[in-house]
Amino acid sequence: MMPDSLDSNETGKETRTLAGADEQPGDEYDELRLRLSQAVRKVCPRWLADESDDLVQKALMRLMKQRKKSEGNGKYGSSYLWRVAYSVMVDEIRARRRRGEVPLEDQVESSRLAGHVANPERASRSREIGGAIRDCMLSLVTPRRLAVTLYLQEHTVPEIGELLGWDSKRAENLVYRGLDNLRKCLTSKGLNQ
Amino acid sequence: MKSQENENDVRRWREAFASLALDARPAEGCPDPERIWMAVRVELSPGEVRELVDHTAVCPVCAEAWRLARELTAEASPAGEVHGALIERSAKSRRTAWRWGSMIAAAAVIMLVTVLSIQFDESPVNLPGTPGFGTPQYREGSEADIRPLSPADRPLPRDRFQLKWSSGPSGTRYQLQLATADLVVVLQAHGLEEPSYLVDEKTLQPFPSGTRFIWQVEAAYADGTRRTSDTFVSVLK
Repeated sequence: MMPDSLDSNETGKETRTLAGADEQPGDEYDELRLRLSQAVRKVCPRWLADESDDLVQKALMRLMKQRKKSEGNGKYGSSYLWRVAYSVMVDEIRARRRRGEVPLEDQVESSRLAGHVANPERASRSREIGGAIRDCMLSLVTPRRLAVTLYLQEHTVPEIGELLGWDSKRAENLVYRGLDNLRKCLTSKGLNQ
Repeated sequence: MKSQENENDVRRWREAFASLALDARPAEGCPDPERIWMAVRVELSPGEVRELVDHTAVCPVCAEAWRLARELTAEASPAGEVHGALIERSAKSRRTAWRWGSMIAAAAVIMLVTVLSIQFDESPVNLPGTPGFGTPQYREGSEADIRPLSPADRPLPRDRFQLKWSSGPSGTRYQLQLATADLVVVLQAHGLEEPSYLVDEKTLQPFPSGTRFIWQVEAAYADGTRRTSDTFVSVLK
Protein backbone atom coordinates (compact mmCIF):
# COMPACT_ATOMS: atom_id res chain seq x y z
CA MET A 1 0.00 0.00 0.00
CA MET A 2 1.25 3.48 -0.85
CA PRO A 3 2.05 6.01 1.81
CA ASP A 4 -0.70 8.47 2.61
CA SER A 5 -0.89 11.58 0.54
CA LEU A 6 -3.36 14.41 0.56
CA ASP A 7 -5.87 15.06 -2.13
CA SER A 8 -8.63 17.57 -2.49
CA ASN A 9 -11.87 17.84 -4.40
CA GLU A 10 -14.51 20.33 -5.31
CA THR A 11 -16.00 20.39 -1.84
CA GLY A 12 -12.72 21.55 -0.40
CA LYS A 13 -12.83 18.77 2.17
CA GLU A 14 -9.68 16.96 3.03
CA THR A 15 -9.30 13.52 1.62
CA ARG A 16 -6.69 10.90 2.14
CA THR A 17 -5.27 8.86 -0.69
CA LEU A 18 -4.11 5.55 0.63
CA ALA A 19 -3.14 3.65 -2.45
CA GLY A 20 -2.96 3.92 -6.16
CA ALA A 21 0.06 3.89 -8.46
CA ASP A 22 0.92 0.47 -9.81
CA GLU A 23 -1.56 -1.67 -7.92
CA GLN A 24 -4.03 -3.22 -10.33
CA PRO A 25 -7.19 -5.01 -9.31
CA GLY A 26 -7.43 -7.78 -11.90
CA ASP A 27 -9.93 -10.48 -11.02
CA GLU A 28 -9.08 -10.63 -7.35
CA TYR A 29 -12.28 -8.96 -6.28
CA ASP A 30 -14.37 -11.53 -8.12
CA GLU A 31 -12.33 -14.34 -6.66
CA LEU A 32 -12.56 -12.93 -3.16
CA ARG A 33 -16.27 -12.40 -3.54
CA LEU A 34 -16.69 -15.96 -4.75
CA ARG A 35 -14.74 -17.37 -1.83
CA LEU A 36 -16.68 -15.25 0.61
CA SER A 37 -19.95 -16.33 -0.99
CA GLN A 38 -18.94 -19.93 -0.46
CA ALA A 39 -18.06 -19.26 3.17
CA VAL A 40 -21.30 -17.37 3.79
CA ARG A 41 -23.34 -20.14 2.17
CA LYS A 42 -21.64 -22.61 4.44
CA VAL A 43 -22.41 -20.73 7.63
CA CYS A 44 -25.78 -19.31 6.66
CA PRO A 45 -28.86 -20.79 8.35
CA ARG A 46 -31.61 -21.56 5.89
CA TRP A 47 -33.82 -18.84 7.29
CA LEU A 48 -31.19 -16.26 6.32
CA ALA A 49 -30.42 -17.66 2.88
CA ASP A 50 -32.31 -14.88 1.10
CA GLU A 51 -29.97 -12.37 2.69
CA SER A 52 -26.76 -14.09 1.66
CA ASP A 53 -25.85 -11.46 -0.96
CA ASP A 54 -26.13 -8.69 1.61
CA LEU A 55 -24.09 -10.72 4.05
CA VAL A 56 -21.37 -11.22 1.46
CA GLN A 57 -21.31 -7.44 0.95
CA LYS A 58 -20.97 -6.87 4.67
CA ALA A 59 -18.20 -9.43 4.88
CA LEU A 60 -16.40 -7.75 1.98
CA MET A 61 -16.57 -4.39 3.68
CA ARG A 62 -15.26 -5.87 6.88
CA LEU A 63 -12.31 -7.30 4.98
CA MET A 64 -11.80 -3.96 3.32
CA LYS A 65 -11.54 -2.22 6.66
CA GLN A 66 -9.11 -4.85 7.88
CA ARG A 67 -7.08 -4.45 4.73
CA LYS A 68 -6.95 -0.71 5.15
CA LYS A 69 -5.48 -0.89 8.61
CA SER A 70 -3.24 -3.91 8.21
CA GLU A 71 -1.50 -2.99 4.96
CA GLY A 72 -1.75 -6.65 4.13
CA ASN A 73 -1.31 -8.07 0.67
CA GLY A 74 -5.00 -8.86 0.31
CA LYS A 75 -4.50 -12.63 0.33
CA TYR A 76 -6.83 -14.20 2.80
CA GLY A 77 -6.68 -17.78 4.01
CA SER A 78 -9.84 -19.83 4.01
CA SER A 79 -9.94 -19.98 7.80
CA TYR A 80 -9.86 -16.20 8.01
CA LEU A 81 -12.67 -15.87 5.48
CA TRP A 82 -14.73 -18.39 7.43
CA ARG A 83 -14.17 -16.39 10.59
CA VAL A 84 -15.29 -13.18 8.91
CA ALA A 85 -18.32 -14.89 7.39
CA TYR A 86 -19.21 -16.42 10.74
CA SER A 87 -18.83 -13.10 12.50
CA VAL A 88 -21.03 -11.24 10.01
CA MET A 89 -23.60 -13.99 10.29
CA VAL A 90 -23.75 -13.90 14.08
CA ASP A 91 -24.05 -10.10 14.03
CA GLU A 92 -27.00 -10.46 11.66
CA ILE A 93 -28.64 -13.17 13.77
CA ARG A 94 -28.25 -11.02 16.88
CA ALA A 95 -29.69 -7.97 15.13
CA ARG A 96 -32.71 -9.94 13.93
CA ARG A 97 -33.29 -11.56 17.28
CA ARG A 98 -33.02 -8.15 18.91
CA ARG A 99 -35.78 -6.91 16.58
CA GLY A 100 -37.80 -10.09 16.98
CA GLU A 101 -37.63 -10.84 13.26
CA VAL A 102 -37.00 -14.57 13.35
CA PRO A 103 -40.21 -16.58 12.90
CA LEU A 104 -40.17 -19.90 14.71
CA GLU A 105 -41.17 -21.85 11.64
CA ASP A 106 -38.13 -20.54 9.76
CA GLN A 107 -35.74 -22.08 12.24
CA VAL A 108 -36.53 -25.71 11.75
CA GLU A 109 -33.46 -26.61 9.75
CA SER A 110 -31.97 -27.65 13.04
CA SER A 111 -32.96 -31.28 13.34
CA ARG A 112 -32.76 -30.93 17.11
CA LEU A 113 -35.61 -28.47 17.02
CA ALA A 114 -37.53 -29.84 14.07
CA GLY A 115 -40.21 -31.27 16.31
CA HIS A 116 -41.01 -27.87 17.71
CA VAL A 117 -43.08 -26.78 14.76
CA ALA A 118 -44.74 -30.14 14.22
CA ASN A 119 -45.62 -30.52 17.87
CA PRO A 120 -46.36 -27.26 19.68
CA GLU A 121 -47.08 -29.06 22.94
CA ARG A 122 -43.66 -30.64 22.86
CA ALA A 123 -42.15 -27.28 22.00
CA SER A 124 -43.84 -25.63 24.92
CA ARG A 125 -42.72 -28.37 27.30
CA SER A 126 -39.19 -28.18 25.94
CA ARG A 127 -38.97 -24.46 26.52
CA GLU A 128 -40.29 -24.88 30.00
CA ILE A 129 -37.55 -27.37 30.71
CA GLY A 130 -35.05 -25.06 29.01
CA GLY A 131 -35.97 -22.22 31.32
CA ALA A 132 -35.67 -24.51 34.31
CA ILE A 133 -32.28 -25.74 33.14
CA ARG A 134 -31.07 -22.17 32.94
CA ASP A 135 -32.32 -21.48 36.47
CA CYS A 136 -30.79 -24.67 37.79
CA MET A 137 -27.47 -23.90 36.14
CA LEU A 138 -27.24 -20.70 38.14
CA SER A 139 -27.38 -22.71 41.32
CA LEU A 140 -24.45 -24.96 40.32
CA VAL A 141 -20.93 -24.15 41.46
CA THR A 142 -19.05 -22.49 38.63
CA PRO A 143 -16.83 -25.39 37.47
CA ARG A 144 -19.85 -27.72 37.25
CA ARG A 145 -21.90 -25.06 35.49
CA LEU A 146 -19.17 -24.62 32.87
CA ALA A 147 -18.82 -28.36 32.38
CA VAL A 148 -22.56 -28.92 32.03
CA THR A 149 -22.99 -25.96 29.69
CA LEU A 150 -20.42 -27.35 27.28
CA TYR A 151 -21.86 -30.85 27.62
CA LEU A 152 -25.31 -29.56 26.71
CA GLN A 153 -23.64 -27.87 23.73
CA GLU A 154 -22.62 -31.37 22.63
CA HIS A 155 -18.94 -31.16 23.45
CA THR A 156 -17.33 -34.42 24.50
CA VAL A 157 -15.64 -34.79 27.87
CA PRO A 158 -12.10 -34.64 26.36
CA GLU A 159 -13.07 -31.48 24.45
CA ILE A 160 -14.43 -29.93 27.64
CA GLY A 161 -11.13 -30.66 29.36
CA GLU A 162 -9.19 -29.06 26.53
CA LEU A 163 -11.37 -25.99 26.36
CA LEU A 164 -11.39 -25.31 30.08
CA GLY A 165 -7.83 -26.35 30.84
CA TRP A 166 -8.66 -29.44 32.89
CA ASP A 167 -7.40 -32.97 32.59
CA SER A 168 -9.92 -35.52 31.36
CA LYS A 169 -10.47 -37.02 34.79
CA ARG A 170 -11.43 -33.69 36.30
CA ALA A 171 -13.61 -32.81 33.32
CA GLU A 172 -15.43 -36.13 33.55
CA ASN A 173 -15.93 -35.71 37.28
CA LEU A 174 -17.35 -32.21 36.90
CA VAL A 175 -19.66 -33.20 34.05
CA TYR A 176 -20.93 -36.20 36.00
CA ARG A 177 -21.55 -34.26 39.21
CA GLY A 178 -22.97 -31.29 37.36
CA LEU A 179 -25.48 -33.44 35.49
CA ASP A 180 -26.43 -35.13 38.75
CA ASN A 181 -27.08 -31.72 40.33
CA LEU A 182 -29.08 -30.68 37.29
CA ARG A 183 -31.22 -33.81 37.43
CA LYS A 184 -32.00 -33.28 41.10
CA CYS A 185 -32.83 -29.63 40.52
CA LEU A 186 -35.18 -30.44 37.63
CA THR A 187 -36.81 -33.21 39.64
CA SER A 188 -37.43 -30.79 42.49
CA LYS A 189 -39.27 -28.60 39.98
CA GLY A 190 -41.30 -31.57 38.72
CA LEU A 191 -39.65 -31.39 35.32
CA ASN A 192 -37.70 -34.60 35.04
CA GLN A 193 -40.50 -36.96 34.10
CA MET B 1 -24.47 -41.30 31.84
CA LYS B 2 -24.19 -44.81 30.57
CA SER B 3 -27.76 -45.90 30.85
CA GLN B 4 -30.31 -45.41 28.13
CA GLU B 5 -32.45 -43.44 30.53
CA ASN B 6 -29.66 -41.01 31.22
CA GLU B 7 -28.88 -40.66 27.54
CA ASN B 8 -32.50 -39.84 26.89
CA ASP B 9 -32.43 -37.24 29.64
CA VAL B 10 -29.35 -35.59 28.18
CA ARG B 11 -30.88 -35.60 24.69
CA ARG B 12 -34.00 -33.95 26.04
CA TRP B 13 -32.02 -31.39 28.00
CA ARG B 14 -29.90 -30.51 25.00
CA GLU B 15 -33.01 -29.94 22.93
CA ALA B 16 -34.54 -27.85 25.70
CA PHE B 17 -31.36 -25.82 26.15
CA ALA B 18 -31.15 -25.13 22.40
CA SER B 19 -34.83 -24.23 22.21
CA LEU B 20 -34.25 -21.20 24.43
CA ALA B 21 -32.70 -19.43 21.44
CA LEU B 22 -35.91 -19.58 19.43
CA ASP B 23 -37.47 -16.50 20.96
CA ALA B 24 -34.49 -15.06 22.81
CA ARG B 25 -33.02 -11.58 22.61
CA PRO B 26 -29.28 -10.92 22.94
CA ALA B 27 -28.25 -10.26 26.53
CA GLU B 28 -26.25 -7.32 27.80
CA GLY B 29 -22.53 -7.65 27.24
CA CYS B 30 -22.59 -10.28 24.53
CA PRO B 31 -19.03 -10.99 23.39
CA ASP B 32 -17.73 -10.25 19.93
CA PRO B 33 -18.56 -13.22 17.69
CA GLU B 34 -14.90 -13.54 16.76
CA ARG B 35 -14.09 -14.31 20.37
CA ILE B 36 -16.64 -17.11 20.40
CA TRP B 37 -15.11 -18.44 17.20
CA MET B 38 -11.63 -18.32 18.72
CA ALA B 39 -12.81 -19.93 21.96
CA VAL B 40 -14.37 -22.87 20.15
CA ARG B 41 -11.12 -23.33 18.24
CA VAL B 42 -9.10 -23.28 21.46
CA GLU B 43 -7.32 -20.10 20.48
CA LEU B 44 -8.06 -18.38 23.79
CA SER B 45 -6.76 -19.11 27.26
CA PRO B 46 -8.84 -21.41 29.50
CA GLY B 47 -9.67 -18.39 31.66
CA GLU B 48 -11.05 -16.50 28.68
CA VAL B 49 -12.96 -19.57 27.51
CA ARG B 50 -14.50 -20.02 30.96
CA GLU B 51 -15.72 -16.45 30.94
CA LEU B 52 -17.39 -16.94 27.55
CA VAL B 53 -18.90 -20.30 28.48
CA ASP B 54 -20.35 -18.81 31.65
CA HIS B 55 -22.02 -16.17 29.50
CA THR B 56 -23.46 -18.77 27.12
CA ALA B 57 -24.97 -20.61 30.11
CA VAL B 58 -27.42 -17.74 30.54
CA CYS B 59 -27.48 -16.18 27.04
CA PRO B 60 -29.31 -18.42 24.54
CA VAL B 61 -28.31 -16.23 21.58
CA CYS B 62 -24.62 -16.61 22.34
CA ALA B 63 -25.17 -20.29 23.08
CA GLU B 64 -26.62 -20.52 19.58
CA ALA B 65 -23.56 -18.73 18.18
CA TRP B 66 -21.35 -21.17 20.03
CA ARG B 67 -23.18 -24.16 18.53
CA LEU B 68 -22.84 -22.66 15.06
CA ALA B 69 -19.10 -22.17 15.52
CA ARG B 70 -18.73 -25.68 16.86
CA GLU B 71 -20.64 -27.21 13.97
CA LEU B 72 -18.59 -25.29 11.44
CA THR B 73 -15.29 -26.17 13.06
CA ALA B 74 -16.21 -29.82 13.36
CA GLU B 75 -17.52 -29.93 9.81
CA ALA B 76 -14.58 -28.20 8.23
CA SER B 77 -11.78 -29.87 10.12
CA PRO B 78 -11.44 -33.09 8.13
CA ALA B 79 -10.98 -31.20 4.89
CA GLY B 80 -8.59 -28.76 6.48
CA GLU B 81 -10.64 -25.78 5.40
CA VAL B 82 -10.79 -24.39 8.87
CA HIS B 83 -7.89 -25.14 11.17
CA GLY B 84 -9.33 -28.02 13.09
CA ALA B 85 -7.12 -27.39 16.08
CA LEU B 86 -9.60 -28.84 18.49
CA ILE B 87 -9.19 -32.29 17.08
CA GLU B 88 -5.59 -32.54 16.00
CA ARG B 89 -3.47 -30.42 18.25
CA SER B 90 -1.85 -31.75 21.38
CA ALA B 91 -2.63 -30.04 24.65
CA LYS B 92 0.89 -28.67 24.84
CA SER B 93 0.91 -27.09 21.43
CA ARG B 94 -2.56 -25.77 22.07
CA ARG B 95 -1.50 -23.96 25.17
CA THR B 96 1.44 -22.48 23.28
CA ALA B 97 -0.96 -21.45 20.56
CA TRP B 98 -3.30 -19.67 22.90
CA ARG B 99 -0.45 -17.83 24.56
CA TRP B 100 0.57 -16.51 21.15
CA GLY B 101 -3.06 -16.06 20.29
CA SER B 102 -3.77 -14.05 23.41
CA MET B 103 -0.86 -11.73 22.67
CA ILE B 104 -2.06 -11.29 19.10
CA ALA B 105 -5.62 -10.82 20.31
CA ALA B 106 -4.51 -8.18 22.79
CA ALA B 107 -2.64 -6.36 20.03
CA ALA B 108 -5.69 -6.69 17.77
CA VAL B 109 -7.94 -5.22 20.45
CA ILE B 110 -5.60 -2.24 20.84
CA MET B 111 -5.50 -1.78 17.06
CA LEU B 112 -9.25 -2.12 16.78
CA VAL B 113 -9.93 0.45 19.49
CA THR B 114 -7.45 2.82 17.85
CA VAL B 115 -8.95 2.38 14.41
CA LEU B 116 -12.49 2.73 15.70
CA SER B 117 -11.52 5.86 17.59
CA ILE B 118 -10.18 7.36 14.39
CA GLN B 119 -12.72 6.02 11.98
CA PHE B 120 -15.83 6.66 14.02
CA ASP B 121 -14.64 9.71 15.83
CA GLU B 122 -18.09 11.24 15.83
CA SER B 123 -19.77 8.26 17.44
CA PRO B 124 -19.35 6.60 20.81
CA VAL B 125 -16.96 3.66 20.82
CA ASN B 126 -17.84 0.66 22.94
CA LEU B 127 -14.86 -0.42 24.94
CA PRO B 128 -13.89 -4.06 25.46
CA GLY B 129 -16.18 -5.73 27.92
CA THR B 130 -19.05 -3.36 27.28
CA PRO B 131 -22.17 -4.18 25.27
CA GLY B 132 -21.67 -3.83 21.55
CA PHE B 133 -17.88 -3.70 21.73
CA GLY B 134 -16.43 -3.68 18.22
CA THR B 135 -19.67 -2.62 16.65
CA PRO B 136 -20.27 1.02 15.82
CA GLN B 137 -23.76 2.17 16.66
CA TYR B 138 -25.85 2.52 13.55
CA ARG B 139 -29.34 3.73 13.01
CA GLU B 140 -31.81 0.98 12.32
CA GLY B 141 -34.56 1.44 9.84
CA SER B 142 -35.57 5.04 10.39
CA GLU B 143 -33.62 6.35 7.40
CA ALA B 144 -33.96 5.19 3.84
CA ASP B 145 -31.11 3.07 2.51
CA ILE B 146 -28.31 4.93 0.81
CA ARG B 147 -28.63 4.25 -2.91
CA PRO B 148 -26.12 4.96 -5.68
CA LEU B 149 -27.15 7.63 -8.16
CA SER B 150 -24.08 7.36 -10.37
CA PRO B 151 -24.85 5.40 -13.51
CA ALA B 152 -23.93 1.79 -12.91
CA ASP B 153 -24.43 0.73 -16.52
CA ARG B 154 -21.81 2.95 -18.15
CA PRO B 155 -18.21 3.85 -17.27
CA LEU B 156 -17.47 7.26 -15.81
CA PRO B 157 -15.01 9.52 -17.64
CA ARG B 158 -11.69 10.19 -16.01
CA ASP B 159 -12.29 13.93 -15.80
CA ARG B 160 -15.82 13.57 -14.42
CA PHE B 161 -15.56 10.57 -12.18
CA GLN B 162 -18.28 11.76 -9.89
CA LEU B 163 -19.84 9.41 -7.38
CA LYS B 164 -23.34 10.32 -6.29
CA TRP B 165 -25.71 8.82 -3.82
CA SER B 166 -29.12 9.48 -2.34
CA SER B 167 -29.12 12.24 0.23
CA GLY B 168 -30.05 12.03 3.88
CA PRO B 169 -31.88 14.63 5.97
CA SER B 170 -30.53 18.12 6.40
CA GLY B 171 -27.34 18.19 8.41
CA THR B 172 -26.17 14.75 7.29
CA ARG B 173 -22.41 14.39 6.76
CA TYR B 174 -20.92 11.67 4.64
CA GLN B 175 -17.77 9.64 4.58
CA LEU B 176 -16.76 7.99 1.33
CA GLN B 177 -14.37 5.15 0.86
CA LEU B 178 -13.14 4.16 -2.59
CA ALA B 179 -11.14 1.04 -3.28
CA THR B 180 -9.91 -1.01 -6.16
CA ALA B 181 -11.61 -4.28 -6.91
CA ASP B 182 -8.98 -6.13 -4.90
CA LEU B 183 -9.80 -3.97 -1.89
CA VAL B 184 -6.80 -1.63 -1.94
CA VAL B 185 -8.16 1.62 -0.54
CA VAL B 186 -7.67 4.46 -3.01
CA LEU B 187 -9.09 7.31 -0.99
CA GLN B 188 -11.24 8.28 1.92
CA ALA B 189 -13.14 11.53 2.08
CA HIS B 190 -14.52 12.74 5.37
CA GLY B 191 -17.00 15.39 6.40
CA LEU B 192 -18.72 15.66 3.04
CA GLU B 193 -21.79 17.85 3.18
CA GLU B 194 -23.08 16.95 -0.27
CA PRO B 195 -24.14 13.46 -1.40
CA SER B 196 -21.57 13.36 -4.16
CA TYR B 197 -17.83 13.34 -4.66
CA LEU B 198 -15.70 14.17 -7.68
CA VAL B 199 -12.63 11.97 -7.67
CA ASP B 200 -9.58 13.97 -8.69
CA GLU B 201 -8.15 13.04 -12.06
CA LYS B 202 -4.70 12.82 -10.53
CA THR B 203 -5.92 10.12 -8.17
CA LEU B 204 -7.19 8.11 -11.12
CA GLN B 205 -4.06 8.55 -13.20
CA PRO B 206 -2.42 5.26 -12.23
CA PHE B 207 -5.45 3.23 -13.20
CA PRO B 208 -6.18 2.07 -16.76
CA SER B 209 -9.50 2.38 -18.51
CA GLY B 210 -11.87 -0.35 -17.49
CA THR B 211 -10.68 -0.36 -13.89
CA ARG B 212 -13.51 -1.28 -11.55
CA PHE B 213 -13.74 0.58 -8.30
CA ILE B 214 -15.91 -0.30 -5.36
CA TRP B 215 -17.15 2.38 -3.03
CA GLN B 216 -19.16 2.78 0.10
CA VAL B 217 -20.71 5.70 1.94
CA GLU B 218 -21.24 6.16 5.63
CA ALA B 219 -23.82 8.76 6.60
CA ALA B 220 -23.61 10.53 9.97
CA TYR B 221 -26.97 12.00 10.85
CA ALA B 222 -27.54 15.12 12.86
CA ASP B 223 -28.74 13.12 15.87
CA GLY B 224 -25.43 11.28 16.04
CA THR B 225 -26.53 7.99 14.53
CA ARG B 226 -24.94 6.48 11.45
CA ARG B 227 -25.74 4.26 8.54
CA THR B 228 -23.41 2.49 6.16
CA SER B 229 -24.38 1.80 2.58
CA ASP B 230 -23.86 -1.37 0.64
CA THR B 231 -20.85 -1.40 -1.65
CA PHE B 232 -21.28 -0.04 -5.16
CA VAL B 233 -19.22 -0.53 -8.29
CA SER B 234 -18.19 2.16 -10.77
CA VAL B 235 -16.00 1.62 -13.81
CA LEU B 236 -13.39 4.04 -15.14
CA LYS B 237 -13.87 4.91 -18.79
